[in-house]
Amino acid sequence: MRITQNVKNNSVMMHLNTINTQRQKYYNQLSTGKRIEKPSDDPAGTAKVIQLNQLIAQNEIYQKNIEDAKSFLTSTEASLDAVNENLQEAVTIALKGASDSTGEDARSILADQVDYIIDRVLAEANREYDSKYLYGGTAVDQPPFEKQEDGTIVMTNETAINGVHLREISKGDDVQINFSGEEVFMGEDGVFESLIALRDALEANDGDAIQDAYMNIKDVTTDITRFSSVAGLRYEHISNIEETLSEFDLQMQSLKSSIEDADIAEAAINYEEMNTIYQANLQFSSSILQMSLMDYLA
Amino acid sequence: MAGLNNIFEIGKSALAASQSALNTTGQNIANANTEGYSRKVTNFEASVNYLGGGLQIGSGVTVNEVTRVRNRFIDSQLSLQRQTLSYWSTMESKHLLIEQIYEEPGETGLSSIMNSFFESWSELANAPENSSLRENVIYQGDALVKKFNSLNERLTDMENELTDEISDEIEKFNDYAQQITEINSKLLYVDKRSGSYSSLLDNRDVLLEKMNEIADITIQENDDGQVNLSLNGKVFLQKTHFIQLDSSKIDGDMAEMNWSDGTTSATAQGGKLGALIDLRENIIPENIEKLDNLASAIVDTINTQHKAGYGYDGSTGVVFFDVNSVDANTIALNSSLYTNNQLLATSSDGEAGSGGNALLMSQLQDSKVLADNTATFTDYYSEIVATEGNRREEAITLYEGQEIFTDNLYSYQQSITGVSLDEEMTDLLKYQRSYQAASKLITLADEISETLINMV
Repeated sequence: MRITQNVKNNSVMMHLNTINTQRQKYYNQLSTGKRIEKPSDDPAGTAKVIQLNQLIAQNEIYQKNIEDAKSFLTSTEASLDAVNENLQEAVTIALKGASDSTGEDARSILADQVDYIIDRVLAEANREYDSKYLYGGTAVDQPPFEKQEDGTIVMTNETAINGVHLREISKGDDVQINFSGEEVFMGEDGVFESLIALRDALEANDGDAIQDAYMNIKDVTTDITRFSSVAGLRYEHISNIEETLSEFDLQMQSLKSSIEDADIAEAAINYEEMNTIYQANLQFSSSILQMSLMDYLA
Repeated sequence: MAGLNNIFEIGKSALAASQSALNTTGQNIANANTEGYSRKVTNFEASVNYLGGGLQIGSGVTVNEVTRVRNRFIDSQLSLQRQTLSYWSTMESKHLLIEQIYEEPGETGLSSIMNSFFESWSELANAPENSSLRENVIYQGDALVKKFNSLNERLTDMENELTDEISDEIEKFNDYAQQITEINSKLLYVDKRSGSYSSLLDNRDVLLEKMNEIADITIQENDDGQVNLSLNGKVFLQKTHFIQLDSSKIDGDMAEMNWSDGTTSATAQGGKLGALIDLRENIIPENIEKLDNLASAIVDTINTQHKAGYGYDGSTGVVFFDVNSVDANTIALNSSLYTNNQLLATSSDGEAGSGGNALLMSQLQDSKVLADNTATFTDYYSEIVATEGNRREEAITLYEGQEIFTDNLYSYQQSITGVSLDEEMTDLLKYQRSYQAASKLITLADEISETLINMV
């Protein structure tokens, strides 16, 4: 082949260009740390990264929901424990009141104590957590329970109190975090009714009625314990999911990184290699392009 | 019998021939880097005088013609490859622009914004009474519609830029065609053996190369050097006459090219013009359409769920996106939301404290409503981005391969038609020596004459 000026120029340009393109690619990888900067760098990988980003973002939401659900349930458990303690106290009072040796005056004093207990349980029943009522369901504007003039306790919003708070803690897993205030406190022989019955019986100095109220309150205590253990079970379920989620998150992050991130060590080595080739090419090219017959003619 | 005068004549013709060859060499050196220049060679011919009786005697040298060195086969191969190269180089650079529009993978792309949007609903579901979380949903929704609007706008802008570019290329195409007809007419009057004839051919070849880079023209060369050109079977340039490509028809939705004689519509499949038309007619509209599908699916799905829920103020049947939102261009939020965030349908039963509907809204992210109910919004969107990525990747591969192939062919062509300075330097010395020898001959003849005169 005849080698002309343009052949030489062209091949030098072509090679320098090719090497420079490669060099630039590794340089970009080194400076951004990313293997994929544009979709065309790896189209399938880009689609994967976009989908992983969604999963990771959703995971973050689940983790936030889990934190929220856990503290809501913790508050509920603490509150139920407080209710339970008050009921235990009422049981002791009922036991004392039921004794034949307790006279009318003593029973009246005990009745006042039960009244205090009712107020404290009412306060628990209206407990707020993060601008929500623990037992208020979806009520937002007023406490779920109210003490009437006659000493009875009523619900302020009979629909909202059964409203449900769901937290999505993983895909398709919506956990209810609240208990209906009606179920926990109201109903025939419920918490409030039993306590009020005890107080009324003590005031009326009616030994049999005190005995009945005593039995009812013992039952109610069992109910509250049951709610408390349900809250505990939910908490446990959520904690299990949380562990799975953080493991899943780790896996997805590392999968994303393996697709998206550049292998810095490899990129650095490749870059160095390309640099060396580039320099060799420059040196070589300059000597080829400069060489001419003219240098040797007199 | 040859006379003394003949030696003078031979010397003179040799001087002239060497000078002519030096001229050609000089021209070659001067044009070593000129685009499209093919090296010229001076062809000599020994001249002979015929004497009577079958005798002949040399009478010097004449320059027969100055020819250009070309290889027709490689020339036509090269222009074909250049046309493909120009197609893919245009594709590659334009696809870079398209894929950059999506800003993926990254924090500013539509996928991140969609994630944030659904995340804001999920947060609101936990605390529907929280006004700043409601505000956040509206803010994220606003960002979502603005992103759709801007994607649509950037693609439409690009479509318009392509239209302008197509017009520019057509203008260039017509201009080159005009110049070729001028050369065609000059070729008729110029001596084929002269240097200016081959220069005209060089110029014409450069023009043809440029036209080939614009569109997939077919070249047919006549014996007299004139060319006829056709595009897609339509002969549009014949000798000194040509039909213009009309770009004025390109506006609105259709990029229709017509021949100015009004006979047929024209089209280009190769070259830069072929790529531009392909991009403007198929690829950009497809991107716009897919984004429109995505936008309208989001609008429908979100609005249906939103209407089913209840606002914090008890309102129901309220849309989240404006009722006139039908595609990526028109998508907008229900403007009442900007002034009253209580309209956000968070509740599933009308109780203000319920976040049930907000939770359902956030879960719409996983609903498969696109591509015959097989793809979520993100699936569908990532497919759009991946398709663009694939297209550019393909364009890069084909462009780079084509570039190497074309470069090699170009090198091969240049090895035949290009100027080698070493060669020319050698020629320079060669013809300089010839010139010196010829002048020596004349001096010698002169001395002989003098000797002869002195004898008398």
